[in-house]
Amino acid sequence: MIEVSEVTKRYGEYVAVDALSFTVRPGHVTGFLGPNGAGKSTTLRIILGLDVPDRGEATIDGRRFGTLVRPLHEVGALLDAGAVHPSRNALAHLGSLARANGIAHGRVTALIDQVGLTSVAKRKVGGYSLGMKQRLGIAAALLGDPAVLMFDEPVNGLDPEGVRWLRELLHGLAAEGRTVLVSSHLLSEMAQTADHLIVIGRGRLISDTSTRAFIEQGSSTRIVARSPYAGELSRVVLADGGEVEALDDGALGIKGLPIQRVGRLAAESGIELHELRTDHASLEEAFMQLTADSVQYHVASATAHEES
Amino acid sequence: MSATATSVRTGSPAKAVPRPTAGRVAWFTDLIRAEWIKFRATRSTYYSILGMALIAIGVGALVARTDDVHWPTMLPVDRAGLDPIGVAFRGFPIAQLTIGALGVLMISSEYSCGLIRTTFAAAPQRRAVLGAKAVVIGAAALVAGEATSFAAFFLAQGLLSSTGKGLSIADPGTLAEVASAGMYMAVVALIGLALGVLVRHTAGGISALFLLVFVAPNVIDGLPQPWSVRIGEWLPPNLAQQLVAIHPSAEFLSRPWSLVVLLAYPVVFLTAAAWRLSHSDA
Repeated sequence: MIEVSEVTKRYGEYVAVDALSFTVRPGHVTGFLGPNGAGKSTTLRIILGLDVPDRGEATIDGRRFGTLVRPLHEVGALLDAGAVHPSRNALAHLGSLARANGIAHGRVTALIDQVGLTSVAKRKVGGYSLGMKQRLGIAAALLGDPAVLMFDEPVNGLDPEGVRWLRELLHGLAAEGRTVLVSSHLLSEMAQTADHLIVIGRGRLISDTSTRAFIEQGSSTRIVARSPYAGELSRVVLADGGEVEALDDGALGIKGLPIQRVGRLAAESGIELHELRTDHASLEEAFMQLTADSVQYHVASATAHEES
Repeated sequence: MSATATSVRTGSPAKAVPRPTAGRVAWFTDLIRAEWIKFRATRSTYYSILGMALIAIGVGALVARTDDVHWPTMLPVDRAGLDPIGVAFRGFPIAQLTIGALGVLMISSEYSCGLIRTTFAAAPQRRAVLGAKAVVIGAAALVAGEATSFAAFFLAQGLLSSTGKGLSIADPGTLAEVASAGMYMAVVALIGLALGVLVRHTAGGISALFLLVFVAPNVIDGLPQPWSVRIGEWLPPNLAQQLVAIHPSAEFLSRPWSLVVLLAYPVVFLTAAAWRLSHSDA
C-alpha cells in the first residue's frame, strides 16, 4: 500500500505538488492520471525518496522509502525508460541493480527472457528503441518480486502488441494482490488499463474514484447516433429527457441518456440506425476540461519549468 | 512476446526472489560489486585507463630517449640537472586528467542520463552508494596508477642507459617515490568522483578538475613570490611532486605534510559530496 499524505513540493515559485493526499491499495491497477506537468512524476519521485517534499509524507506499507534496505524486494519502479547508460548492455544494467539488492543472477536472465529482450541482452542499451527500453525498465522494476510497483508512463513507445502485453502483465500483478500504480496523461489508455483512477491537475487531487465511476460521472460523455430519420430520433430523445445537438457531419450528438436507452428508444419507435456509439473523444475532452486550468497554467509557465 | 504476468511471477504466497540474509558488511559488499559491474561494463573505463597508461609511459619514454640521444652533446650544467625520476614522470600531469575524468564520469554519467534515480531507487542509502563508487574507482585507479608508474619508471631508466644516471628501484627512497606517483592517480580519480557529485555535470566536473590539478598550478606558479609558494604548495600536483621528486623543494611543504595534505584532499572533497548527496533531490 502506498500512502501519500498532505504532500507539497515547490521548486522555487513553482508548486509542483500541492497538499496532495491519496492511498493506493493492493489488488488493483491504479491509474495516476493528469496532463503533462500535473506533478505525477514529482509525486512518484517523492514516494521513492528521490525528492524530499516541503511538507507532508509518503510511505510504503507505513515506512518511508529511504529507510528500506535492499528496497527492490519491496518496491519496484520504472521512472524513465531512457535512464540507462547507453554504452552498457541489459545484462550489466539489470545485473548491477540485482547485485545491489542481493538478487541472484538467474533472476536477471529469467526476466530478460520474460520481457523478450534475450536476443539483444548483450547489445548496448543506447541502440535500443524506446519500446525496448520500456521493457528493460519493466524488468528492472520486477527484479525483486516486489509487492508494490510503480510505472511512470510505461506505455510510451510500446507497439500495440507491447501495450496489450503490458496490460496483461499489470492486471496479472494486481490479481496476485500487488499494489500497482501506473501514471499516464491519456485517459483513453488508463480507461482500458486501470481499475481505479487518481486524477491530479496542477499538483492537486481532482478525483479519486473507480475508473467506471470516473467515466460515468463525466456526464458530458456524448453518444453519437446516425440515422436517415434524424428529426424523428431527436424528437424521441428530447421527449425522454435527453439533449440533442446536430453534428457537422449530419449525425446527432446526444447527452443525458445512457447509450442503451437511446438504442431502445430508436427500436421502439422503429427508427433505422446506421451508427450508435459512445464518443470516446468526448471522454478525453471531459478529462481535459476537468484538468483545464492546470494545462493552461502549464502552458503559461512551460518556459519557467519543464517537468523532468 | 508471449510473456504473461503469471509466467513472470510465480504467485504471491511463496516469494519468487529470496531476500538475502541481513548484515551490513554483506550489504555494502554487494553495493561495491554492483558498482564494479557497471564500471566493467562501460567503455569509457577502458579508454580512460588505457589513455592514462599510454600518455604516462609514452611521454616518459620519449623524454628519456631524447635525453639519452642528446647526452653526448649536453652541457655539463644540463647533465647535472638531469633528473631521472622527473624524466620518467613527465607525462603524469597530462595522464592524471584522463583518470580524473573517469572519476567524474563514474557519477556524472548517471546524472546526465537519469540513471542516478534508478541507482538510488535500488539503494536509497546515498552515502553508501558514494562509498561503494569510491572503493571501485579508488582501487582501480590505484592498481592502474601503480602499474603505470612502475612501467614508466623502468622503461625510462632503461632508456637512460648511456647517461649512467638511470636509477634502480633498490636505490634509497626510489620505491616510495615511484609508488607515490601511482598513488597520486587514485587521489585525482577520487577528487574527480567528488566533483562529479558536486557539479552533477560531466563537462562541468571535468573542467573543475582540470582547473584544480592542471590550470591552477601553472597559473599560480606564475604569481610573484611569495604567493606562488604560499598557494602553490597546497595544490595536489605540487604535493605529489614533493613526494615523487628526488630533491623535494625546500620552500614547499615537507614530505610528511605533503602526504597528509594530499590524502586529505579526497577525504574533504568526498565529505562535501556526501553532504550534497544527502541534502538535495536526486
